[in-house]
Amino acid sequence: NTSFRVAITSSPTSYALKEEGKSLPPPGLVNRNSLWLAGVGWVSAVLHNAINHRPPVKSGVHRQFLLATIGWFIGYHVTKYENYTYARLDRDMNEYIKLHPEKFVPKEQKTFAEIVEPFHPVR
Amino acid sequence: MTFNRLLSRAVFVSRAGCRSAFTSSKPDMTNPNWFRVGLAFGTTAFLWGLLTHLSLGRRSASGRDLPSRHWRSGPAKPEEN
Repeated sequence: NTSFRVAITSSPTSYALKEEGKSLPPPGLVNRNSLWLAGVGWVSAVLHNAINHRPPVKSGVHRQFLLATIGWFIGYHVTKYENYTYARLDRDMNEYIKLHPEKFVPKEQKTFAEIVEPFHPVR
Repeated sequence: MTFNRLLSRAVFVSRAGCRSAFTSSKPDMTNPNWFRVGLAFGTTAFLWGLLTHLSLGRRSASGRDLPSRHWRSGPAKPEEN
């Protein structure tokens, strides 16, 4: 099977050029990438405290908040790009399917009753 | 040592009029640098405001451009039209 990406090529850079980047609904404020990267930022602030012999969690709260927020912000844009990438791949795949319907003929479904051979118990 | 003085470019660096950057005082943790604290909190507030504004979102220009689906909802179904 040929790759779906051959069908209608649209490059990932069209996200950067904002042609298609705006046609999707924006991701929610809470998303996995944001949570993870916010955690990464917070842990790095705590580590920075620990390395400099400060109380790890109780000191530099403004730094912890700032780094966590920066991580959240970056995670939001990562999610946005992820949504865009999957939407683009879905669209390309659907267009390929539409262009080549002969390759996607639905198989006739047989019920299990038709397939199974008659059962003759030997007891 | 004389031979090293021939080859090493460090010889040309004058050691007059310079001092080490090492200081012997520890950073003072009891008096916070309030400007930096304010800057950090201010930037945090700004970023959260920006995030909220972005996520409350633009309505999509035309819903037919790109199909959007939740990542848990399984593979995309081909459109019928």
